[in-house]
Formats: sequence, structure tokens, C-alpha cells
Amino acid sequence: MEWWMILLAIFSGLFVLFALGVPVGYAFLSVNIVAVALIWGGGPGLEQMMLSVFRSVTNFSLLPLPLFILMGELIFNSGLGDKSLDALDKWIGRIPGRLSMVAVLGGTLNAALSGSSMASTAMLSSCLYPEMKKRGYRSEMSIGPLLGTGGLATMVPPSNLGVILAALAGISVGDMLVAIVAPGFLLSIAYLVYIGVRCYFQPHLAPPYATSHYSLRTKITFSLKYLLPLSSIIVVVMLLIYFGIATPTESSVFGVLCSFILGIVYKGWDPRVLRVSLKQTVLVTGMMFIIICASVTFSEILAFTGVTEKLIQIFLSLFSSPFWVVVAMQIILFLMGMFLESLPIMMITVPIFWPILNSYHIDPLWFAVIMLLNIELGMITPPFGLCLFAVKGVLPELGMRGIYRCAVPIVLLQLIVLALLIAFPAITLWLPMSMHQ
Amino acid sequence: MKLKRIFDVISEALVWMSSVLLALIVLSVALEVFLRSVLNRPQAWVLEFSEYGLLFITFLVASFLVRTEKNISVDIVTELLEERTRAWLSVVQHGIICVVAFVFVYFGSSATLDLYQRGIYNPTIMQVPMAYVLFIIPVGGFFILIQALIRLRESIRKQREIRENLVPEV
Repeated sequence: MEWWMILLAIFSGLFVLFALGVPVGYAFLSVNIVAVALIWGGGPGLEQMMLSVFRSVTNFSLLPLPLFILMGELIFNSGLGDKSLDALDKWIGRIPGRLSMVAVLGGTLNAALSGSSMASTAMLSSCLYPEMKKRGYRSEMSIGPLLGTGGLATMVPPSNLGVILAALAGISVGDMLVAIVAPGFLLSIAYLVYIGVRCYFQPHLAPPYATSHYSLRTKITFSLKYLLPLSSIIVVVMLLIYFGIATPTESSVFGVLCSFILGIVYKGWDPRVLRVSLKQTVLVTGMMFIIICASVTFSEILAFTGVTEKLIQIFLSLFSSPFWVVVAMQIILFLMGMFLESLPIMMITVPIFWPILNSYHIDPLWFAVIMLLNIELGMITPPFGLCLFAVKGVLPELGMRGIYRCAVPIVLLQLIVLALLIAFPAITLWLPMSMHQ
Repeated sequence: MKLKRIFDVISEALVWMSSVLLALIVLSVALEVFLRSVLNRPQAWVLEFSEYGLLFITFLVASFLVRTEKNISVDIVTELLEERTRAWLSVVQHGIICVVAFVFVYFGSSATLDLYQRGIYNPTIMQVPMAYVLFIIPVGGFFILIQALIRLRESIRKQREIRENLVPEV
């Protein structure tokens, strides 16, 4: 069987199963089962596949993932996340686009806790949109920034998808988490500048309104009480990784213990918080890991059948410059992001892209960061971006066409940031490089 | 129905087991950091225990995720379809999960048995017999299979009900 026929069979099989609504993990596993049975013969091949499942999941790089999820769950379930958002809200006075800015800052804070773009978009949309509507905000300034918060979720550490991508691509998780810091904040600043400038020139988009006045003392008290402890945990977790004092796993355990203690301090000892957080964490971990179970076998199939090698040859014959390779790959990722979730995209593309990157001597860390941003960009890109549907799900009264219109400026902003990251790799790489120095 | 209830309780219990396992991972890593940095006594088993823990968590919660249909899926196409087609697709989805779970049970068991008989160890510091870890795949697979079969039966019944409701009365 020709390599391209195998490639076509694998990918068409996957996409048909996705379209039929088969859970992503089981779709990958069933394609693996058929491919293994055909290529390596039934019994021995499938027994080998069980060992590959073992190797896929028992990966030390994946260990911080459930721990970061648990950290976010503990903070969320103890109510500290909401209180921090409230403390943040008190600082933003009577400025144009106030609630849009709260959405972006809240999205940045929430990103550090949830790490899931759809969850972050859905949560902030349900919390902030009714208030925005009441204050006469036009949809460009309400839905747009809310969609933008989805992209922040994966670009602000500790990012779940960042950890998974690092584990799949064989990059250091610590490097990955440190590398996304600058791009994440650049994205956040880009949103804030956009909101500020647009609301300054078109004040009707987000009419200013009188806000409750809080004394400086109240603001500082709230910040010291809620915002500081929470942000300290995240900052200390990152500093432990940055200075090499602890591995990402160890620093995530530190984050979990601190979140647990904070929860007790603020809410008192409530076993329900711990119980719910643990349960929620293992469920989210299970959802992701059943997909990752298929990763080793999937890459082995692509390598063994010669698909990876042939694709490298095609890329080498088509593009002489690494720049165009990166651009071509980004276009592929962008198009896939419009239809698929982040995890399947990583599963499909990492085994193909990484050998090609190695052939061109492209920095895998830099590429992984722009890949992460690009996949998120796909999630808010019409017509099928999943975050668009998350907003529609929470706010069913909105029309899809209106949501698409609001997404366009945010997509353009993310494209600008993506272009900056491609043009200036130093934005991504200076922090990890300084970490190693 | 009683059997279904029993397996539902088992799937809940497996989730709680994995919650306890996660708590143990957190505590063991914290203990390792303390022993290494304060008493200068690193514990090599912690890393391996935590890695195996990830495999156990995955397979312990898998049946609950099938039962509650919480697995990640791409639903942009299925959401556009009418209920009748969705019910039919649900049969296909659970049928496929059954096949994958059967492979886990059958080939997971034979791989575990083979590793056990040959006495294969994981070449790491703890040198844990591979069979003692790999057995969770057929065990977890068994509970996935049961839940998928229950859901498959329900989907077939629902599909039949929809079809019967659509048949015009004579």
C-alpha cells in the first residue's frame, strides 16, 4: 500500500469518526487498532499496542497536568477566584470599556487557574455579559473581548495544553511554561490597548458609567486579602521553575498545597471543597489522558509506514527556507483549529511536524509556543471555532452572525501577535534562554 | 436494572479510588521534596509511583466518563442533526467504544499474562514487574466495556422508540 493511501485512510478514518461524534480518544484508539491489526498483524501487534498505551501515559512530563488542574479547582471551589476578580474590579474606575477590560484581566487571572479556553470563555461570558448588556455595551466590546479570553487561557501559565504539547513533543515542560509567559502577557496587553483605543474614539461602543466609589484603603485591603495571595501562588510556582529550584511537578505540588491552605484560611475546613476538587481533577485528567493513550502508537504507525519520512521529503522539496515551512505549518494548524479541538490537533500534527522541524533545525520550543497560540486562534475563528459555540451555548439569544462579526477584530489581533512571535523569536525565547543562563 | 445500578456504583467507587490516588501522588511528591531538601534523602520510588498513578487514574475514571458521556468529542456536526439521526449515531458511538474496550480487555489480559509469565520488569530503580502495572488496562477496559454495553442497549432502545413514534398509525 502506498504511503499516501495509508495517510489518506488514517486521516479520513479519523475525521469520519470525529464527525460521527465518537469521543476523540476512542476515535484515535480505533484507528490505531485497525492500523496495527493490518500493518503488524492481529495478536502480537495489539499486545504491543497495550505497551504503547502504558508508555504514552506513564510520562513524567505529564505529571504537572493533573496537579495544575487540582490547584485551579481548589482555588475555584473555595470561592477565592471570584473574590479575586471582585478585588480586581474595584481597581478599575470610570474608564471607557471598563467591563471589557475587567473581562481581559479576569481572563488572564482565570487562565492561570483553569487553563481551558472554552471553560474560561463560557464562565466569563455568563458572569460579565449580562452586566455589559445592562450598561449598553455594543456586542463588539462585549462578545469580542470575551472571545479573546479563550486565547489567553492557554497562553498564560500554568497552561494545561502547554504541558500536554511539551509532553507530546518531548520539550521540557519548565521551558514551555516559561516560554509562554511573554507571549501570554503580550496578548493580554494587545487586548487592553485595543479596547482602550477603540472605546476612546468610539465611546458609544462601551458607554462609561458611574461605578461605586471605593476608598484606596478598601482597594488595598481587598487586594492584600484576595488578589495578592492568589497571584503570589502562581508567581511563586513560576519562579520556582524559572530559577530551577523545583521541577514543574514539584512546583505544581507546592501550588496545590498552598491553594489547599488558602482555601482553609478563607472558607474554613470544608471537606466538600477537597472532595469536589479531587473528583473534578481526576475526571478532567481522564478525559485528556484517554486521548493521550493513543499518542505513542499513532506516531509509531506514521513512522513505520513511511508517512513521516515521505512528508519530510515533500516539505524539503517544496520549501528551501525554514520560514516558509513555519508559515505553511501555521496555515495548516489554523485551518484545523477551525474544525477541531486543541488536543486532537496536537495528536495529529506533532508526530508529523516535529521530524520536519528537526530537518530544518527550527527551534521546537519557539514553534510549540506559536503553535499553541495558533490553535487557540482557530478556536475563535468563524465559522466553526469552538469558543464561538461556547459563547452561543451560554448566551443563546445571540445570533451566530453577530458572534462571527465580533470575533473578527480579536482574530486580527491574535494574528498580529502571532506575526510578531514569528518575526521576533526573541519574544518567546528570551525568558527560557535567560533561565538556562 | 439491578446489575446496571451495581455497575454505576462501581464506576463511582472507581472515581473515588482515583481521587485518593491523586491525593497520594500530591502527598508523596511533597514528602519527597521535604526528605530530599531537608534531610538529604531523595526517594526514587516517588517518581515511578506517580507515573504509574497517571495510568491508573486514566483507566479507573474511564468507565465513569463513558457512563456520563463526558468524554471529549467533536459535536459540531452531530448537533446539527435531528434527534432520530443522533440516536442512531449514539448506537454507532457506543458500538465503537465497545470494540476498543474489548481490545483493552482481551489483548490487555494477554499482554499482562505474557509479561507475568516471562517475569518482565520495568528497567527502572523500583524494578516493578510490568504485569503488576499493566493489569489496570484490562481491568479498566472491562468496566468501560460494561458501561458502553449498557449505553449501547439504551441507545438501541431509544432509537427503536423514536422509530416507532414516527410510524403513522393505521
